[in-house]
Amino acid sequence: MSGKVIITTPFPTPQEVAAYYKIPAKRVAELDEMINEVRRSMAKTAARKKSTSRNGNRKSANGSRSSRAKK
Amino acid sequence: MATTNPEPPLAFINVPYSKRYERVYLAFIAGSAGYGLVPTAAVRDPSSRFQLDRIYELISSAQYSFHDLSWMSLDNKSPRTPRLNMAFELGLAVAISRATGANHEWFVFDTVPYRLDKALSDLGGIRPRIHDRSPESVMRALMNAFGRRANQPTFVNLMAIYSEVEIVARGIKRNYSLDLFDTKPFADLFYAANKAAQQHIPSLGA
Repeated sequence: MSGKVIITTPFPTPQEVAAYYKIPAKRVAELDEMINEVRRSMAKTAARKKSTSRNGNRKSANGSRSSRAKK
Repeated sequence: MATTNPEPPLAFINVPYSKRYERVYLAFIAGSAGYGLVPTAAVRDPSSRFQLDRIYELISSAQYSFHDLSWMSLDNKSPRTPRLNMAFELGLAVAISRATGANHEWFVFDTVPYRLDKALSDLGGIRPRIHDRSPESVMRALMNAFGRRANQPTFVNLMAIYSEVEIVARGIKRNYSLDLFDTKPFADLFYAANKAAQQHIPSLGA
């Protein structure tokens, strides 16, 4: 078994990968759409997590209770 | 040791084709993408008649092979037997790596330290890379096996690639195949993994 291997070759492009696996252009377009959808949903989840406060509750859109009381 | 071939190297993935190993399989696909390798595997291919010829060709055309030997139990179908394919394919890879002019390096993985010393004592002195079937542990094992001169992925990069691949795998299961160990899902998963690598390894500049 080998020790640590250092790779110096370039990363394959998505076009090269599609050609290697013989993925038809139509399927490539479907996969690209699926991947974009995955990224949109991951971004949405990340944004939702960011807006969640440390105690697990969502941040109030109206501000904190104390700041509302001052109004 | 550094590779000099300008083509992206192929990596043969040899894992048990079982639901229990789906995350390991996805992690090897994502990890290969993270290091700029192109994975191949003996996934089911109805167009192919001679499985042994196909596996031999796949391993000999790959520069690297990953052999997960951690499935050591008997299966549930009668007559109950152990699965010997993984060890057999490792044997092929070792033979190929020792042939004159060969350009093949193999890596062994297990989930239990020192177990292979007993189960496969012919490998005596060779320490397998240990994981616990979690994607995180597979990525750490791959990080110990590989490095890159340029565009080195971090653990966070590799896990980001894995997360996208896992979601695409769920999409594949929903849309057309419950079995990920098949030709079309394998190609689709690696295409997604490669796109994720372009996105999540900052120096690739997607």
